[in-house]
Amino acid sequence: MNRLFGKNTVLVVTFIMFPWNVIANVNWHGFVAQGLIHTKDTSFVDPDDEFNLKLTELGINGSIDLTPSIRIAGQAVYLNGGNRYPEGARLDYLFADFDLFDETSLSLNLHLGRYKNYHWLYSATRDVPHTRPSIILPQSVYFDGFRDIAVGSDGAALVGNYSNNIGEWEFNWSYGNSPVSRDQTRDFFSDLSTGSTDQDFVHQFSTFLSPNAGPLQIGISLMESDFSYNAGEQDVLQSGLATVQRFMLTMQYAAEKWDLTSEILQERVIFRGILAPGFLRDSLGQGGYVQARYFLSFKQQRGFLTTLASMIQAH
Amino acid sequence: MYKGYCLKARNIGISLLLGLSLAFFSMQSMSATLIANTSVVDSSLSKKSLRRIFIMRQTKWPVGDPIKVFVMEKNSDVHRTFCQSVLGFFPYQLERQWNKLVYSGLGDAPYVVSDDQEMIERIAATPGAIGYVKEYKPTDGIKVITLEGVSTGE
Repeated sequence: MNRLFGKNTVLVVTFIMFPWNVIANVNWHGFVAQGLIHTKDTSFVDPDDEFNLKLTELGINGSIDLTPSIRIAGQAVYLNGGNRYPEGARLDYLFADFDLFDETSLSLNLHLGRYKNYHWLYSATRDVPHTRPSIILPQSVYFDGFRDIAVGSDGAALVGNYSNNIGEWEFNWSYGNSPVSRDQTRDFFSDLSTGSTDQDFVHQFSTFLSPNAGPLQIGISLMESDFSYNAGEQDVLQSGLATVQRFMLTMQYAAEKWDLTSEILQERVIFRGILAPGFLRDSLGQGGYVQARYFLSFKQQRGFLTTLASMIQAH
Repeated sequence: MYKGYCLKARNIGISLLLGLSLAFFSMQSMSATLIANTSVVDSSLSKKSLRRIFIMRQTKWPVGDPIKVFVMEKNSDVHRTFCQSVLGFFPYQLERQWNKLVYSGLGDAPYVVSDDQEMIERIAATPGAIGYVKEYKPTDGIKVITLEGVSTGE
């Protein structure tokens, strides 16, 4: 693990957001962020022990209302995260949004197309710097190697919101799959693999509750996904199937000057074949994080940035 | 500084009966008045509805017309007061909800205005609009929305 994440990492990120409305029923927004990153004794982002700029996030999104109940929404991004994921442009999401219910205590929308993953606290906005609690999200839950598969899928999603005497509920269901690139296949199964990987399906459900509409939010997220590996020519691997099941509990508490967030998961991974004919491995893993934030005043932020600039200059 | 909300009942008859006792209510240092375009049929809203409207999850009025939400800039005192005293959110929680909508395709963020004057002008000119001001002065095209279930606190 030390090799992966290293010991010393200093990151600085800046961003600009530029939202605007072009015409009444069309909305566009964008974001651009450029970071400066330094890692030591790790190839997680870059093998060189020097400051580098491999922390670029750029995106543009828009939506258009076709009718009062149907809209189209989409976002394209360009990302450079060093070794964290392949550099380049991506279609992040593009779906038709059908407004099924929109009443005083219940709203329900159906998304068809390339939908977003709304099931984890930060999965829907993981590339947008000012929506994250940290420059790099906790890798136990948001492992960047799986970013392109986890960020969304092609299929259908239901997104709902409900209020009752218990509190405010959010519930999400989705079923779809994502393409898996050759680069990702090599990342999963080593450079020796010559075959291809398909995600057969990913089925997810999540629900979040804010009791009495208070400062606490708790949630549960469930996921099951099957991947097929199709062996290539002169492949060291065999064709086979991998199943991933994830169960996750989430908690977020919001105070005026601080907040506390935690996501704890258990993941079951079953390999059938792939490594050898008849191979079977069924394993369980646990992970998670607890993250606290304190919101600095403007004066405190200025002092922090001055200190940080001095440290970089000294380096 | 006391400004308070002007409370109105659902209809004129009830408002006449309750008018004396519910004319205004105090919310400690609260200093904001909830206003809407006169095209909005509702004259009062529950806190639950108000929260759903300002987190942009209820996007239509009960009669089916689209809701247009206007807010002040996030660092303004009136926005902070409105968020905390009326909605029960810290401003950063509301912003987090809006960011999720905007950057994941779920919906749109509210329109942001800079002061009471702009808020009043935009709401008066926008059917279905709702927002709040620090100091309310009766204006054509604007109505005051009251919060259901809030006692006078007197």
